[in-house]
Amino acid sequence: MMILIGCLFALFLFLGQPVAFALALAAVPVFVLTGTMPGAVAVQKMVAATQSFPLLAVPFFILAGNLMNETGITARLVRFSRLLTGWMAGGLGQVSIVLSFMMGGISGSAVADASMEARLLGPAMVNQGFSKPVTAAILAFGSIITATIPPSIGLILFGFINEVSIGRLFLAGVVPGALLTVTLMVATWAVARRHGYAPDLPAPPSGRELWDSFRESIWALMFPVFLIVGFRFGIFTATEAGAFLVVYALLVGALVYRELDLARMRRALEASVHDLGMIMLLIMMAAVLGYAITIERAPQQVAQFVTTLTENPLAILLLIVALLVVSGMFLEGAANILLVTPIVMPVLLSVGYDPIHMGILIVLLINLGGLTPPVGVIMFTVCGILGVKTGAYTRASVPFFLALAIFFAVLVAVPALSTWLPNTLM
Amino acid sequence: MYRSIGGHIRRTETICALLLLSMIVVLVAAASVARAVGSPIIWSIEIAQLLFVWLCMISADLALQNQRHFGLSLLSDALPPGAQRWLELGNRAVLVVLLLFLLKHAWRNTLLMHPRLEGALQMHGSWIHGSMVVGLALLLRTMLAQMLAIWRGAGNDDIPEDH
Repeated sequence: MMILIGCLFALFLFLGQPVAFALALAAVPVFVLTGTMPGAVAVQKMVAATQSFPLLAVPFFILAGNLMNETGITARLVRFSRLLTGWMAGGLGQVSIVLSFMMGGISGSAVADASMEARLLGPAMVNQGFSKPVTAAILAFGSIITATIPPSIGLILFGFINEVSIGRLFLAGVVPGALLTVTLMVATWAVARRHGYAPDLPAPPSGRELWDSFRESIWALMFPVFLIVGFRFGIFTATEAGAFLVVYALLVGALVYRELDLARMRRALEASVHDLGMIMLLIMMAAVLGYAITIERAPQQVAQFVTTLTENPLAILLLIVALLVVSGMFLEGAANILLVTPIVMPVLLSVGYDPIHMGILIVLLINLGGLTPPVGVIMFTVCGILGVKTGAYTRASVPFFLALAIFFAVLVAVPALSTWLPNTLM
Repeated sequence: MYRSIGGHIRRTETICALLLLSMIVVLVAAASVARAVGSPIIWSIEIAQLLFVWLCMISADLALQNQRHFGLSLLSDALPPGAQRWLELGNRAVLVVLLLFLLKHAWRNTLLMHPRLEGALQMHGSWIHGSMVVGLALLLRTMLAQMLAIWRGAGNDDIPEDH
């Protein structure tokens, strides 16, 4: 039965059915064929998926992000990151990476971040002499930083489905996110040096310029800080924090920047509703398939299978890493977290890995597949906007892959990178 | 004629979704303030969750109308335009069957859940589970409208291309 589910899912995905529906199409035969599970249970599982307090955070963070976008915060952050890094080798490339780090708290999704930056910075980078494939590679790889910066939707979903504290996950993502930013900046610097790309600004900015720009951007930069402080002192749960962030974004947009009017507010609300419909249908359908998979005892079977192969924890982890990279190539991030992690997490926990450490690793790894052929979502988004062939993109992205490989090796080897901050603060 | 009905439905759904989303934000924010000052509102989260399931289904339909539920275009890209059209029709026909199956069970489930009284408010279970009947029916309508549009070869009215 598990093989049937897998084959059906792959078939419908290949035929081009939307992922959310492919999930349901793969699950329904279990309900029809076994005869022991009434179809009403499928519908009940869909309802149950929405009736969770932690998941109420999803619409809030989406809405807060869209509100911030409508208030012209993006332009201010671009200015700030330009002053911060534009004078280094590969200037605008560095700017895009730092921007991903700072925008992470607002856009919360790698694809959204990549498409925004490809439109905003892509043409300027090409004008300054960057080759198009290199531009696409820098923008695509930089965008996965958003996966670890609070409030990342991926982390919320991971916490929700694996019953791990979302507050701790948010804290845990900060240090790896910063490290990834530095890693990619070094890679960009090396690539820029080799191709002889000029800096964007002739000289480092004066302290005065930097300070003024920082003051302008402070409200967006405070976004993740606000969350972390709230969790640290137990002022609010992740869901309540989301509702407050919406109010915060409204106040900043209306009173501080004075750019948020009713028309923009409506636009932000509408954009959020569309994002939400997409992600929630995915979650609801994944709940149906998840139930079918549990009934078929898939996690136990996988665990048994893996432990017959090896009992070495590191070997098990590497096996699962490989599995996640491959499934990440075919499935979009949220679907992957909802489907694959409930199957592999019990195995990882049983051999003694820390759930927080694994959460950060998995949420990042899943995005890795989005960067690679055959069907990487981020790759397609960026290449589509910039008009780059995927072959050329793949060749240009080799140095960044090497940088990521080193980063992941360090992330696996040093759990403290993820666990230190939550353990110290909470 | 049919298009204008589709337009009305879309506008109504959009307004409902915007209102639901705003109400949920207000409810949760108010509830956490109330909790902080020591007089928790027990029903606020229940209502927020009730509204949320309705919001999910309506926004899922709006996302469908805007082609936001993405899948792989591997096969479709490799096919000539004529075959692409048949593939899209075929895929949607399969989804119509799926939605009919789910809709039938959603209806039965709503009847089943109606007598159950949930939470502090003792509201009928059908208030929550009824969202599925309405939501799935909306998805079904959109799916059929899209099939009709593709069949006629126009296809650009109900399915904007910009996403």
